[in-house]
Amino acid sequence: MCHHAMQFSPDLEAPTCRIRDLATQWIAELLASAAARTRVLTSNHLRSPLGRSLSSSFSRSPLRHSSLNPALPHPSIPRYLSHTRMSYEEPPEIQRSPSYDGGSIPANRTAVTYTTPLRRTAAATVGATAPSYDDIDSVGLDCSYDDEEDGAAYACNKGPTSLYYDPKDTASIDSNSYDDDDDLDEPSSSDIQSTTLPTTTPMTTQGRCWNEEYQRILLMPDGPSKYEMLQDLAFCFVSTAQLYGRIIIEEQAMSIDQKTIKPVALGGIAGGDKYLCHSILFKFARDSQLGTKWMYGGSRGCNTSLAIKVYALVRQRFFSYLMQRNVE
Amino acid sequence: MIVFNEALERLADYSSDTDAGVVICTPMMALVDYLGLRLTAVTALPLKHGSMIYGSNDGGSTVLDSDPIVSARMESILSHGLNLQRHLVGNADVGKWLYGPGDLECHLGTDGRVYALDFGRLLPPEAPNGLGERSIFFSFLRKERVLASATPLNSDAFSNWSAKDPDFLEHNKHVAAATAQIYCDIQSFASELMTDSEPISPEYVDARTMASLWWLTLTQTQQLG
Repeated sequence: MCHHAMQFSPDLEAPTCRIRDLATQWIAELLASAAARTRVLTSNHLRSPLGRSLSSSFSRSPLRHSSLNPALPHPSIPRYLSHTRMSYEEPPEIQRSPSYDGGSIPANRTAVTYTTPLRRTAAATVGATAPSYDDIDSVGLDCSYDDEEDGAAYACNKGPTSLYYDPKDTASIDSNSYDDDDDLDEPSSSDIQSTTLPTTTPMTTQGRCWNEEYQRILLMPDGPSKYEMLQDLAFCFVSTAQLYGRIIIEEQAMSIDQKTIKPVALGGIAGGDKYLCHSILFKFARDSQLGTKWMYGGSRGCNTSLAIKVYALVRQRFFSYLMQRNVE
Repeated sequence: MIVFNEALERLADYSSDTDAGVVICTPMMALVDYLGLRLTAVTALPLKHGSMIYGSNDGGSTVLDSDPIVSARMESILSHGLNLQRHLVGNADVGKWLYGPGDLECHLGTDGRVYALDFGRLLPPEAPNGLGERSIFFSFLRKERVLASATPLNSDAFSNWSAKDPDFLEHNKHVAAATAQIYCDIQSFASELMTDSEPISPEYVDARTMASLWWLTLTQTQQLG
């Protein structure tokens, strides 16, 4: 078996083994640092936010909270988030860009009505700035859905609250230029389900212009500077995606008004729930129900396809691990 | 997410060729795995309502192919670069003849760039097997297998996206043959592993088929031993 294993993996020669050792060491360090960060996140998480929100969120209005005491962090930003950032050596929101405002919210922010069900209401409350995007992924023709035919794809409006960076519009990247004069929707007294929440602008419409930076770097001529910039950008993107992705995953069981990052109505079913945060679109990889069937053939709302892929990956890694063990 | 990586690499190779006309941009993507759940993170794109110029975003009710330059570019990328079959997407009266999957969209962004979205089904599916009929939405052929196929393969094979195509059944046969060829190659490869020859691994062996290879190898070891 040993002999055949070596034949199967002809790349396990001396230089490759060296590279493999380095890669193993590198991955081990990565895992160690990730575990350390996870411990910090988890310990802070257990210490502060859930207990507070479970015990007192029913009696404390978020808006009253921030308006009475603007110095307090906004209740929609969990305390563990700021703690976690402080525990990092380099806080991501400081030096990145003026629009990277993840925590503080001005006291004079406007508020809109956020109601359920989500898909229709977000467009109705935020108006022209609401993104609603049809991307029915991987859907056969025989399926009939509640398609939003008139939905805009990643709505892009010009102005201070624009979702996206326009190179010609310098105001769109100025995070401090909040427009307090409009977009104020009075809460509807007839809608029992409506909850007064702060606008989701800081989470959804602010952020680094990832796409613009990425496309510009890709158009640069090949060279070390291009790939260094690409590496820096990818590192920042992955770090930011990890930071907010963890929050989305941890709060996946909470109700919408309790979520720090709220889902947005971008349309589409196969892509799962969508969240827009700091110009990053998060899609929850879950199976979705289409009438009596499930999109990816599951029996429940689990992420069947991804489970299969992950299982396959585990099998592959285990297989290669066995091969390497046989070689050694 | 092997499919994403492979297909995106291929798409990026061809789309970044600026000499060939319009550049098809793709967003930056990342995966977040945490507590057993997974998110895909994509950069938000500067798109707006009505910006789609290629593909379908409503399950095939409307299919667009409105920009000849983008259409020609997609043809060169998908047909010549990925060996994909031209097929009818949508109904016969409103459908369009596209090369990629029906839900692959191209948008003209507000910044003047052309963005491609939703390439999760870019590569043709494996023929339905024990995973059920919906497996065509998450079980895909590898890029190497598609490129090695003698005939172009249909990304919408076995799905209702191209059910109105007059050659739909023929396309399904090609995809089924490509799928069967994988397991034939693996079987012969597993047999060669047990001999003293130096077998060449089929480069399109992926995680799913790796398990089959392992099983075949173990079975033959027991038979020999």
